[in-house]
Amino acid sequence: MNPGIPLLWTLAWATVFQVLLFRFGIFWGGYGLLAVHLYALFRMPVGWSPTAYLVVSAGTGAVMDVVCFTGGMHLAACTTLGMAYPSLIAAMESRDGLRQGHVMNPHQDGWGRYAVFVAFGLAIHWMVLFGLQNGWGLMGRTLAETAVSTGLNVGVFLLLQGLFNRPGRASGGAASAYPWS
Amino acid sequence: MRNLLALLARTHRWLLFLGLWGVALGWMNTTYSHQRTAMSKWSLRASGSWLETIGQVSDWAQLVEANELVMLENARLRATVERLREPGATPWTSSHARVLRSPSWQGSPWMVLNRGGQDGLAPGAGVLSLGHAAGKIVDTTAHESLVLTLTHPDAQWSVRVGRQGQAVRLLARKGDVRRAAVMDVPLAQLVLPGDTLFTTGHDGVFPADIPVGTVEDVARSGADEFQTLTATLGANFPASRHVVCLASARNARIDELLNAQAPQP
Repeated sequence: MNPGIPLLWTLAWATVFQVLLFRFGIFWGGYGLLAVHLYALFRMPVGWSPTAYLVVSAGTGAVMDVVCFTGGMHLAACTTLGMAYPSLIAAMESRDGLRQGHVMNPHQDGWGRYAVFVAFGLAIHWMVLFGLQNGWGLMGRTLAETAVSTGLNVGVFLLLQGLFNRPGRASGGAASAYPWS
Repeated sequence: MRNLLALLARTHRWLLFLGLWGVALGWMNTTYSHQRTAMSKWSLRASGSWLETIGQVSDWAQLVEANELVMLENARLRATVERLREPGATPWTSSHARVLRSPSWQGSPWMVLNRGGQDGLAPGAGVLSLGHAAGKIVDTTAHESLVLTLTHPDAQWSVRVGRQGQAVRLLARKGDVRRAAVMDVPLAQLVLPGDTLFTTGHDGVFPADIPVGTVEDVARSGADEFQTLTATLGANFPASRHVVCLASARNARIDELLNAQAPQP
């Protein structure tokens, strides 16, 4: 199946839930914010052109800005994330590399590796967003908000992966001697 | 054109990234007052920095000219300092005397004081009356001094109108002990009644900037480039009872030169 189809579905429900529900998830005096729509962006498959990552991310950020009235901050943050996404994937590659169409997930790549992957992406996103919001004068607050929100969302994404992305059993239940079958 | 297209194709991702950032910043600029204020501040800072840089470049271009002006100013100041340090700038000593005869006495232009050579007075000393220049001692006895006053018709005195005026001549008017004429004042110099006349210090009798009197009238003939002033003398000779005598070593030397026998050619 084309990996873009499940991405679109994930992107749709994640964005809808973010707009309707998780946008009100503000914790610890505004230091911890939820951004579930990024969960979908981190499921963009390996092998796309770098421009495609940029366009999809920017489109998601623009939609968030339109429906949340945030005036371009999500667009800037998601654009930066989309620009850095190919480098993030390249940094997470194992010695054997990643196959085309691979979607980063903790069940195949390892929980630690996946946590580091989303942590870097989230840090880029939150750094830009809080930086634009606070300006140079509140750089300390920006760093603190970035750290707290990144940690919160990493935990949420790991939870979502554990709840909704569990690997299913192979069809027929037959055991194979070959891991790719 | 092909190269340009190739360049655009190679950098299209970065161009798209920058374009999206531009859209985002523009969007924020129209939405948030904080971002709008921050962008205005950045813009002002950038334009201010640019203008400052331009100004610095302009200043640098004028540095040579400014340097020459500073060098000239330094030379002028050095000359002033050397002039102030020259040995001729000896201090003035003062002494008091009482007036025995004043110029109003029987129409005489002379003044007689009650102190003379044995009292420390010597020919050449300047005499002040009521704080104004009055004349100079030309002869002494043991306890009397003869003073050539500003009212003597044969004497000329170096004065200026105001502290910055050009040096001009002050001549007495015969028979008048209250007024004098100031000659050769250039038309270019603005003189008004009430202006103060000061000594120039050029004649060596008085130090510079001693008040002499005030301008009473200004006469311009139109025949030449000069104007003639009528000045009221501040010494007020008819009422003068006490005077101050100013003496310096330079006065004594000048007087010795004048009194020495003229060398034979």
